[in-house]
Parts: sequence; C-alpha cells; structure tokens
Amino acid sequence: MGSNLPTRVPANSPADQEPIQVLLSVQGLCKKYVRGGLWRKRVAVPAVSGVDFEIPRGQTLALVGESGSGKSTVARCVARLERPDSGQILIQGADIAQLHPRELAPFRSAIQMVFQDAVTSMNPRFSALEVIEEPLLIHRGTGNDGSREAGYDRKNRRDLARALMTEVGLSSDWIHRSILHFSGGQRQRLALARALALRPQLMVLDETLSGLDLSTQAQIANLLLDLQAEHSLTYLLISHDLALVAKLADVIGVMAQGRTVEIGPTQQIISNPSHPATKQLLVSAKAAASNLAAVTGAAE
Amino acid sequence: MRTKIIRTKTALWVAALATLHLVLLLAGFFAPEDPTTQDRGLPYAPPMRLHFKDSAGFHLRPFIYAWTTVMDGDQAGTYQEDRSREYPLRFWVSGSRYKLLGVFGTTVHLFGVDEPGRVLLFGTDGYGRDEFSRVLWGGQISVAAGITATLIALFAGSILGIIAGYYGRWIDESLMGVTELFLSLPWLYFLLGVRAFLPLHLSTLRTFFLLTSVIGLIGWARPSRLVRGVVLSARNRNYILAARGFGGSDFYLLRRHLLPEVFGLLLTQAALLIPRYIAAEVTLSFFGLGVNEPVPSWGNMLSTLQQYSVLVSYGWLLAPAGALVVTSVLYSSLADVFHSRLESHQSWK
Amino acid sequence: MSFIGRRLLRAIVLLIGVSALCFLFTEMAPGSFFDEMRLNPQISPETILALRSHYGLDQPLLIRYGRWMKSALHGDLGYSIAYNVPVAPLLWSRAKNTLLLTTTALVLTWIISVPLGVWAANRRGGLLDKLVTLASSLLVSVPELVIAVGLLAIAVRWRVFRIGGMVSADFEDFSTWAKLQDIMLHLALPALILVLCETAVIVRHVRASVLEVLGAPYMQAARGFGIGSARLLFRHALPVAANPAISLLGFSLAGLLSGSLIVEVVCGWPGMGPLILEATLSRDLYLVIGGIMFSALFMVGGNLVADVMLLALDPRIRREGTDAN
Repeated sequence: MGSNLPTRVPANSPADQEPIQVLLSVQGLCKKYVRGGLWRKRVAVPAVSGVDFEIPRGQTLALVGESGSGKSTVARCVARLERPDSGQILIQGADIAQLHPRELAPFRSAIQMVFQDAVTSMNPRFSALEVIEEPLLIHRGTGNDGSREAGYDRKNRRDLARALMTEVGLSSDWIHRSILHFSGGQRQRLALARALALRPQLMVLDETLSGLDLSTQAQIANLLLDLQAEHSLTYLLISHDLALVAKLADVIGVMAQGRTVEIGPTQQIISNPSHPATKQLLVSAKAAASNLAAVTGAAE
Repeated sequence: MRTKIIRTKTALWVAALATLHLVLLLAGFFAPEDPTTQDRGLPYAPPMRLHFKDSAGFHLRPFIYAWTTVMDGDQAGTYQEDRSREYPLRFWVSGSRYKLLGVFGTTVHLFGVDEPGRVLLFGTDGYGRDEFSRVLWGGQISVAAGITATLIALFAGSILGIIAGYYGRWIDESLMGVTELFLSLPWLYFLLGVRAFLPLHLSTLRTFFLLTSVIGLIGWARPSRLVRGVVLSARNRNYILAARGFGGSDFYLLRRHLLPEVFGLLLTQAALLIPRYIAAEVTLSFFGLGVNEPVPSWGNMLSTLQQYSVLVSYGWLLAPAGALVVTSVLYSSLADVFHSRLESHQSWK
Repeated sequence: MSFIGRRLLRAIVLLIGVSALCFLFTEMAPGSFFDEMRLNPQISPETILALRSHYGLDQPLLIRYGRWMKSALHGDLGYSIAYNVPVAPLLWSRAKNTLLLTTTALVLTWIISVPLGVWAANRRGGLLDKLVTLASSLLVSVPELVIAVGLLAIAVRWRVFRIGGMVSADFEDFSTWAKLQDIMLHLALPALILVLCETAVIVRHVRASVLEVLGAPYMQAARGFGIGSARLLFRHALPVAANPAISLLGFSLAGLLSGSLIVEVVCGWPGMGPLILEATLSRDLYLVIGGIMFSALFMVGGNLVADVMLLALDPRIRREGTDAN
C-alpha cells in the first residue's frame, strides 16, 4: 500500500505523555445550501447535519468519506469560508461559528486552508511572490492576537517569501516567476508556503494530496510531516483516500451523508471498523491496493 | 511567439487609430478652410486634382487649377479647370481663424493656396463649403460623440455589473431583469423613443451631451451583462475564497482580483462599442434628430444624399461615409486583436 | 409551469415593463406636441388646454397609464395627434409592410448564412472560408446606414432595381401577377441591404459554433469510427450547432428591426420606420409609444418562436423543463 509514504509514530506512545491540549473542537455542526432564486422554487440541500470531533494540538485528524458526504463543507466551515447554520467551532477558547467577518479578523491567522486544486486557488496572473505575500498584505491592517510581526514592508515580505519558498522545497530564485510556469507539485508547495505565511496553528488540508502522481504525493506528504514537526502544526485533513490517510493521520473520522458516523485512532479504525460506511471504504481501498499489486507484481 | 505577433498587431492598429484621432482632434489645423464659410458661386464643385506636371515640366510641389463655370447655351453650367492660373500648394499657411483644441486661437493651417484660390480636395457641397474641411470638423463631433457615449455606457454598465455579479441573489436577478428589458427592444426604436421625449432644438453643446447621454444610457445593458458574467464566474473561484480566508474585505477582492479581469473585457468592449455609437450618432443626425446645421457632423452631411439627384450626380459627397468606414474598420480590427489577446491570457499552460 | 408557460409569462412581464418605461419617459419629457402650437400667437391658450384635455394629456401620469393600458388591451392604442386618426390601425397598416420586409430578409438571411457558415467551417482554412471570413468582417465593421446609402447610390446609378416606395405609380392597373412582381421588385433593394448586413453577422456565429462542435472529442471519436464526412456533418454536428444558432434568432431579429427602420427611410419603403421617425420629429406621443410597443411585440414574439423551435429541437431543454419544478 504505497510503500514510499512515511509512517507515523503513534501519538500516544508512552515516550511523549504530555497533557493533551485540544486546539479545535467542533460540536453539532450543521449547514444546508439553498438553491433557486426569485423565479424558481427554493430547495434546501442539507450538506452537513451534525458533526462532532476534536483535534489535539500538534496532531492530525482526517475526515474521510465518499464524495457528497459533506467533508469539504466541514472544512470550509472550520476555516470560516462559509458560515454554518448551527453548531460550535471552538478554537483558542472562542466559538468562531457565528462571528461576524470583522470579529473573525484576529482568528484568520490562526486557521489557514489549503485547497485541493492549487491551480484554481491562485490567481493565474500572479507571480510566486504576489501569491505568498497576499495574506501578509491583507493582514497588515488587522490585529494579530497581540503578537504583531515587525511591519510587513516590501523588503520584509520579500525575505519572508524567500524563506518560505526554501522551506517548502522551492528555489527562492523563482520568486518573481509567474505561477503559470510552476508544475502541479510545485504549485501545491507554493500553496503550502502561502498558508504558512501568517504562522497558523491549524491547517485545513482539503484533498490536498489528491490529483497528484504517486511520487509527488509522497514528497508532499513528507513535507507536510516535516512542517508539522517544525512548527507544531495541527492538521485537519480531508480525503477520500483511506490508504493515504492511514499513513498521515492520528485520528480518523468517517463521514457519511453529512454526519460523523465513526471516530477513533487510526489503527483502531483500520483494523476494527464498526460502521458499514467505514467497512465500505476499507473494501475499496484494499481493492485498489490489490489491483496495484497485480499490475506491478509486487507482494502486498 | 503568438503573444509577440498579437503585440505588434495591437501596436499597429493603435498607431493607425491614434493618427486618425490626432488628425480629427487638430481638425482646424489639417483643414484648409472653415467648415461653415459658404460660397454660393461654387456649389457642388467636384474634387480638384493635384497636378505635378505643366508645360514647364515636372514640379515637386503640387498645384491646382481653380474651377470655373462654363455655360453651354441654355444648359446648366459645368465645371472646368481654369488653366490660366496655377495655385501651388503652400504649407504652413495663414488662413481662417479657429481655435486649436478649442482653446488656442490661431490662423495656422497645414496647407492651403493663395487667395482667391481654394483647394478643394473633396469638392464642395450645395452651399459651396469645402467638403474636406467639413469631413474633418464633422469627424470631431461624430467620433467625440461615439467615444463619450461609450465611456458613459461602460462606466454605468461596469458599476452595475460588478454590483450584480458580486452581491448576487436578488440584486443580480432584478438587475438582469432590467437589462433584459433594455435589450428586448431594437436599439434604434429605443433610441428614437427616448429622443422623441426630449427637446428637439437645443444649442450644439447641449445637443451633444443629450445625444451622448441617450446613446450611452441605452447601451449600458450589454456591457453590464458581460461584466456581471465575469464577476460572477470569478467570484466563486478558489483564489477569491482563499483571499477571503485571509480576511480580505469585499473592496480588496474587487480591487485586487476582479478589476483586472474586468479591465480586459472593458477594453474589448470599448473597441466594439465606439464605432457602433459613432454610427448611432451619424444615424440620428442623418434623420435630423442629432447635431443640426450649421455645425457639421458626418450624419447631417450625409442627409443631403437623401435626394436621389444629389446622390447620383455628386458622388464625392459620400466622403463622410468613406471616413466612417475607415474609422469603423480600424476599430473593428483593434477589437479583434484585443479579443485574441484576452483569450490567450485566460488559458493555463 | 411548463417551459413555454414560463417564457410566455416572461414575455408579458417584459411588455408591461416596456410600456411602463415609455410612460416614464413621457413624464420626464420637458416638451410636448403642443410646444410648437404655443409659439403660434394665433392659437389661444384655451384652445391648447382644450386640445390637451381632449387627448387626456392633462391627467396625472398613473391615470394616463392606466387608461392607456386598459384601452391597449382592447386593441386601442390612443390617437395620433399629427394624423388625427387612431394609432392602432395606422400602425398596423404600416406594420404589415415592415413585417413583409423583415420576414423576407430573415428567411433569406438564414437560408444563406447557415449553409455558408457550415461549408466554411467544414473546409476550414480553405479559399471559401477565407473569403467568407474576410467579407463578413468587413461588412460587420461598416455601419448599416452607410451600406444602405451606398447600395442605393449604386442602384440608382445602374437602374437595376425599382426604387422608391412599395409600388409603382400605375400599380392599380396591373394584373395580379404583375402586382406581385412589382412589389417584389420594390422589395428587392431594401431586402438586399438587410440581408447583406445580417448575413455578415450570422455567418460568423454559425461558423464559430459549427467549428466548436466539429472540434469536440466525440466528433473526433466518430471520425475514428469511420463515419463518413457528410453523415458526420448532417446527422451529428448540425443538430448540436443548431441550439446556439436558434438562440441567435432573437438576437438577429433585433438587428433586423433596427436595420429595417434605416432601410425603410433611405429607400422609401412605407413601413413603420418612416412613420415612427415622423412621429418622433413631431412629438406625436401616442404614435411613438404605439410604435415602440409594436416593435417590442415583434421582438418578444420572435423570441417566443425561437424558444418553441429550441424546445422542439433540443431534448435537453425538454428534460430541464420538467426537472426544475
């Protein structure tokens, strides 16, 4: 099963038994989308109908499920790109679920989202520098929970961008290059660099590794782990690929039809699934793996 | 490579248009005569030919012969060249007084001939006025009207389109309903209708503003639809969402991300609309609803051709039509180039 | 509500909106038909007042609009102040001629543009394609008025067409067949001008949409299967390209109506065009409003016809119509 992916050290090994601090706590999240306007009948489509989970600081929780299960909606709500209809999203002790955009400003630097499609999440007319410095420019005006960085003037921004690019494995000489010239994997790295610019605590990775070829996937996954160790990041990982997730996540939450149907430590979920949805996912994952083995002739 | 070709093409058409506009802007300088001076003795004179050779040989400086009327018994007179005197073309002459750019009074003209000769490159109209000068001065009015109307239409259209596309929902639906209303009428009927309800005889300046406002205010509908489309599709793009995730305000998003998209569209629209609105002014003036005598505009100059006798016998009076065609073709070519430029920008590699 | 039902509702709302817009404009009008009369010292102010109330012009806007709306639904569009006859019959007699001209031009345009566009797209880059592209680009750039005047000049010079009005002076003496011929010969020039202008526009769109269809992956697949070129074109490409083409129908109708106004005035064809122009020049209020309503009616009607055709030809719309509700 994707043998070049790194493996995780189980989080609750006796070696690092610290008091576990919860960074993100989501309770009872609900959201529905309304179609139709003046002329047509309004139809409400429930995307998320009751989701609960917690992520301890420094760990990775993966939300898995089939398409349409509501995972992406949860991600957008947590990152407050959308406003949930009801429920709580607790971070840094505050409930940001129903906050007004202006009140959200200090929390923006704490939560950052990385999209699946790096291509569409960046303005094609921008250069690498412009992409990375955008959050710095926007945030310059708003307070940053007390710890303001030394003013983001042009030189600072450029240096910071250079540092970030090096950190994600891109050459800092490419800072002025148009992003059209970056390959798929490079764009994903750039997206990560941008997400790191404001020193977030929580990163929401929405299908970040999907759509990449296997070797690039492995590299980016490695990078994610390195960054997490380096900056004590907490990850909310959204994916439909159970095999991938098994290598990266501490906790797995399974979603089906807008609800979390099963949550638990990775090992437990994989070896002992209880909900039918989880079992279905495992079956598909195993089938894909054995296909690969059959093609490559390698032993599983 | 392709972008390079497009760039040179753009430069070419822009240069041609810029020359055209410069000539029209400085109409007083390039025109040998005043557009309103009449000469009842020389009605419907044909265009003069520039000669380089005479009995003395070849001259570098061209010259003209004056027109004289030759009577043929009872028949109406015809024009013939009066070879008794040559009028060499002189440059940088002092002629009738005019205001350059509407501000500086001067009498310098690019070319002309000694008194009492007149150089009539496009002949004269029924009142003996120099057609060439009138085409230049008339062009000033017609082209300025087209440009002004376009600016009004694009300005109004983009603001409304941005609002509709960005805020969506009921604002969008009601605005689109209104544009559909405006677009559901044939434009000329609409134009006439609006014109009908406004005063007929005004001072030239007022007429000009009235005309351009009317044309522009009817024309806002299509640009607003296009702008709204661009904004609508861009609004849901992930990079807008990402920027909002960083805390970007509406104003920031509009300015940094949406405006550049809209700008390219507006440029193409401008190149398309300007010739159409020039044609609209010409049509209105042709019908007598626009700029009136004695101020020349390509439209009212062409309206004399509604009499078949004039149309057939004095073909040079179609000069304004020719000028209009040249202007329109130049703008159309520019629009085509802008369009291909827009398309190449939008494609990812 | 069915697809057609929704479209019909939209059309009615549109017409109401147009009429409201017209009346709104009249309210903003700083002048009226009687301005000229007022300047005439021989006509007393009382006469003018009497005339105004006779035509109902002294009532407030909403009452005027309401009364007009009520009578319009009965087919009465008010009175023409200049001609002193009811508006509706006057407009209708002229509208018939405009309809004749516009419909002829529309049919001819489409008969020419569609095959031409398809042919040009099929042999992309060939001589015909280049010719069509060049000619249409040129024609599109030239304003309609110029084409009209230019062609008129040529026609008068070479005496090819019968010019001026719809019928010759001794029309009444003709046999039925000769009458028909006479009308057609008079129709030829205005129709030609319109067809020229519209074809240039439509051909480009047809060509573009056929090109788009021909380049689609499923077309390439079909070609890979060995399906012949002609069959590909007619059975596969054309029906798909038909959708955007028919949507153009409404669009081209707008252009044709505006164009017909110009052409009618320039060639002297007795349609709605010269009538509306005169009404505008003489500020004949109800005639102008009536004319605008007629043109809106044509537009809306034409769009409805296009929608019906779309419905019949495109199965996707039929399906969408039932799903959405």
